[in-house]
Amino acid sequence: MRIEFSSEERHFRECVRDWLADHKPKEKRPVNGSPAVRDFDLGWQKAKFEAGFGAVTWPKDYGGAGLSPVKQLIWFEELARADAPDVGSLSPAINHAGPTIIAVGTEGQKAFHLPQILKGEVIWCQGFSEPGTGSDLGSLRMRADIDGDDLVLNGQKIWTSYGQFATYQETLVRTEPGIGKHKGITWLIVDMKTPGIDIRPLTTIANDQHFCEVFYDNVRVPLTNVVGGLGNGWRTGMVTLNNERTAGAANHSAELVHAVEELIELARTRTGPDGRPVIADEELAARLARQRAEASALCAMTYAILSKQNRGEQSGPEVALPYLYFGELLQRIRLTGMDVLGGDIVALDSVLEKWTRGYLADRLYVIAGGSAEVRRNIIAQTMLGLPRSY
Amino acid sequence: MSSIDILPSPEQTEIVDGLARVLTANGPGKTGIAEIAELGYLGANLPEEFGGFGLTIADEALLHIELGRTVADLRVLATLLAARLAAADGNTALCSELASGVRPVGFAMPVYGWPQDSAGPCGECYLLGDAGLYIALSPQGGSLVSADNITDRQAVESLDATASATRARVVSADAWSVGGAKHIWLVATIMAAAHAIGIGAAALAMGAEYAKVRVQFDKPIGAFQGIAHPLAECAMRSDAAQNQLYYAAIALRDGFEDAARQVTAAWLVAMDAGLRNATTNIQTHGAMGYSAETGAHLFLKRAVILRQLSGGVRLHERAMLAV
Repeated sequence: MRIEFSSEERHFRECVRDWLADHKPKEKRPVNGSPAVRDFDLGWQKAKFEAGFGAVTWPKDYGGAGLSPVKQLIWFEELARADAPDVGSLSPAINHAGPTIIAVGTEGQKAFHLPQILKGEVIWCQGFSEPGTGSDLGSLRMRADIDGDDLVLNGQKIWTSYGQFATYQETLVRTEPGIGKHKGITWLIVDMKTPGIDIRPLTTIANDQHFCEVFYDNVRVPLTNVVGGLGNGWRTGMVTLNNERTAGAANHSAELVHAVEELIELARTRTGPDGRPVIADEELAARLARQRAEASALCAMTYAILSKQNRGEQSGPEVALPYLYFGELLQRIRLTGMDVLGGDIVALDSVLEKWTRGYLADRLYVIAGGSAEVRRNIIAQTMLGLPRSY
Repeated sequence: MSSIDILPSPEQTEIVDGLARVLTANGPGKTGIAEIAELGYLGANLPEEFGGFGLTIADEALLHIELGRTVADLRVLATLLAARLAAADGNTALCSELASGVRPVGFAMPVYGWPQDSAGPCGECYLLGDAGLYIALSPQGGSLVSADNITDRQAVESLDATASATRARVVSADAWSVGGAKHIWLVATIMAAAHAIGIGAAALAMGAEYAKVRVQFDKPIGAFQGIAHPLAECAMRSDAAQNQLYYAAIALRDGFEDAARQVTAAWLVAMDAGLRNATTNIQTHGAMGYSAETGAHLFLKRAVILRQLSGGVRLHERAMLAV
């Protein structure tokens, strides 16, 4: 049991801190869905790439920073401390499509796509969910039939984050129907400018246009765009799930701690109905105290995952816990944020906008990528050995 | 070389394993202080020159998780805390008495905290456990109260399964002592938290096991989300609390700047895990849980005792925002 950063790691922390102080975007990130957000995210990616922080989780051989898990943790802690933006619409490319291509892509795919992602030239989106395919991803139906050297796509995807800005999509399609739920699925790179693709942005509960529905009408995609082999799509889609867990947990816990600290500060500086600071309210103070303690526990869970990784141990089923803890704690913190704001919640364009919009937008953390209910099922089954439940 | 590893080392696990085996074999609520003394764990946290193993804060916290898991004699916690106070005072004679188990220590617990304007504990309280010496705790420090300085004793029916309870009055006691380099209040806070983590883990294990074997509507009840999901939440609470405890124990042992905050956070999440996992376990057991037959009640009773014994929720919530 020890927490001791090496002198090199402490030096790295200072470097990151100094660099962020000088280079983090001066202006606020625009609202999702506005064209300005694309330029903002790509600009931030370019700045990081030039400083060698283009992809902190990627190996050096592919242009990543090749950081150790501890340095990744430091990076995310400093990013949150500086209140610097996260990858935003670059997330599908940096956190999923890129690592998948690194893991199972061809040399040609790697050489063509990875540099564009790193340099902040392209946005990717993810085409996994369909109207009939949410939590049950294995039920996906979108057809892709082989015709000569191409696959011909017909069907629909939905909840496609950043689809309206994306140059490429990582798409799961069914190339061989009827041979089993998780069989006959293929992981494909789709150029979003291909004729036959129709993209319609959807407005979210946070009044932004975070995601889209995408329609495919005889869309021809060359077979050379298949990643990880025809029919191996299920395995290809899962391949990166594990190696992103440390970085994801570090990122989320650091951001959440930052949010709680900001909220406590806000509650100390805003004046309540009786002329005292808002935090003088006992019930609100108690909630903030608990949420601060729980945020601390989330960090400790992250350090535990890192500890196992440092020991070279395989992670067990308990790795599913921090994300659910994070998502549900975040909902409680966001509600406390609304109470701290009082009547100011109404103005969605005020300087406090991020608290109200966050309250709405952050619901996605208990829905996207496996709902809280599905995550509970998985924990009950894999950790506790309970029978499968629906 | 980076050294980020908050988890117990194999050597640390070995220290607690011997104790854990005995405690598990005895079952919940069945291990008395004499047996712990015989095994040599009662003075384990004393420095070697005082006849102990010199266990660090982190090592000792791991012991308390095991003690909590099986709802061991509450006086073990009191005696181990008293040993730290005695060692800080250089009272070698008392240290060896405590370690040998001939002088078990109980808790003197006030109703709403000790009077703040007094140099030490005084006035009305409850005594927990039969003992000749009682430890009183407050954020100001700890104080050992001799049975001779306690009057107006009136036995009451005890909420705790392992400790008798007596309403009484402390008439005089030593002034509060912080107990050496590590403030005894923080030590007590983290050790109580460790107990609660043991409670939470044991209650979860018991509930999950029952959910696999109890059949209703032709299925093991664990196949129903109404049962499975609350148990998944218990697993989440336990994992959060346990890792926070590890972090806090390191912070306190190594004198981190934020040690007090980490310890307080550990207390809040640990008490939450202990209490809510205990109630979830009772609910999972249905009427069996409501009856005293299964022993599920032992976890709940110990959880609420621990919460109150180490200051109560409001005190720690306030402390969490004070720093």
